[in-house]
Amino acid sequence: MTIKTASLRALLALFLGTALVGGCASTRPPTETMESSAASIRGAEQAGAEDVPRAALYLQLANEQSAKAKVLIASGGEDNMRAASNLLMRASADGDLAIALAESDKDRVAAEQALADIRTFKQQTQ
Amino acid sequence: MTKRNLIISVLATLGLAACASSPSRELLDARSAYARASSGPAMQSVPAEVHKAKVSLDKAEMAFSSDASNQRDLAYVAQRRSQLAEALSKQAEHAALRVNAEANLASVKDADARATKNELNQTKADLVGAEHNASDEKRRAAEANTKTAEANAKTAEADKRAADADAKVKAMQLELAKWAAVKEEPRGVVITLSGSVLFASDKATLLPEAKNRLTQVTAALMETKERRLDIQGFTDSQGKDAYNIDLSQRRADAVRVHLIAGGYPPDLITAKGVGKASPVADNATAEGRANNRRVEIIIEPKRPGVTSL
Repeated sequence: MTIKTASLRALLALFLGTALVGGCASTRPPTETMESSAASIRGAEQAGAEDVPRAALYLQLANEQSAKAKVLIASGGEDNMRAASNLLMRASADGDLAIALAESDKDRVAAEQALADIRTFKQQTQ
Repeated sequence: MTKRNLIISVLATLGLAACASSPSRELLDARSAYARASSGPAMQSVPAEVHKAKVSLDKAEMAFSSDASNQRDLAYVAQRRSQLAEALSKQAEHAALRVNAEANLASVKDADARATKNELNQTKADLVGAEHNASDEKRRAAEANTKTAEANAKTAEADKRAADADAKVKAMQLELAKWAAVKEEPRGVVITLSGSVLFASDKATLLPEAKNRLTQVTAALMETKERRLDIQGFTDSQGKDAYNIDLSQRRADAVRVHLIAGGYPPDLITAKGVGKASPVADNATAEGRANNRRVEIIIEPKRPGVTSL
């Protein structure tokens, strides 16, 4: 029993030690994912994602994850930086999807407008 | 072995088995999103985007099998990539509808303007005939006059519409000249688009404003729909060659996808990432590097007898 507990403890210590050594690589903020997600969010806002319900959902998700990441980055520490980078990667993918959905909706609305214009024009000229 | 040890060992085994064999909800979602995208219309209209989604899913699957700490995040991103492919496919469909509807509207308006002109000519002829007739024709002449006035008003309106359309085209050309350079070269007409206008730094997703502008370019290109287009992406000399070639390829691909979304036949457009080769300006200055980051659309000269691939 005592031998077993001791060896378990040793194993645990080894595991934690490896994790710490491996984790001390960098505590700098994840600049690249920060820029990429900011660009995606800005793009979605410019595309008018807020006014298109489906796109607005993904823009909101992107904003929420970006906000969480900012809190983590402000707290510092290597684990927080890594978690923040992963959240920003998610935010960027959400933002890109929001852009595509908003743009798609613009084309749909324009097509419908042109069809309505044709109907109105035909009625006026008859 | 004590009872406690037995419980610990059973729990540990269960725990390991759970980690190794059950995929996260994110990964399950990503798998089904990819299955949907790859079996739907996206495979036809935006195959490159579906491929990107596949690469992203593979990355998530690998992270899952190696039990990486960010496996859920990668699966989340993979799901979004598949959704993005589907959204872009839908957008291409909507853009085609839009181009069609707007063309129909223009042709309906044009037909009406021509009909009005014919009506006017006919009325004028009637009037001339009426003037030759005796006084009991006066009433008819008066009627014809009223008709002429109406027709004249209609023509004026049609003329105004035509002038408005001309002004619109002029404004569009002026706008185009601000951010794109067009020149004739032996390899064809080359439209050079500045990289900073099209893309955010280090990204290959078109900026929304750039999309609007590219849509205008597409509308102009639709006039020469049977021509082959070669889209080439270029970077400055900073950064690694492999990265630059990949970035410029993805940028050229993004422009190609947008042109196809606007209705240009996919089999007539090729896209190539050139990287830092063929600079048009000095890479030693910031201004020169900005000029070198660009996308060129080359409209190849018409080849007699060749209509498509």
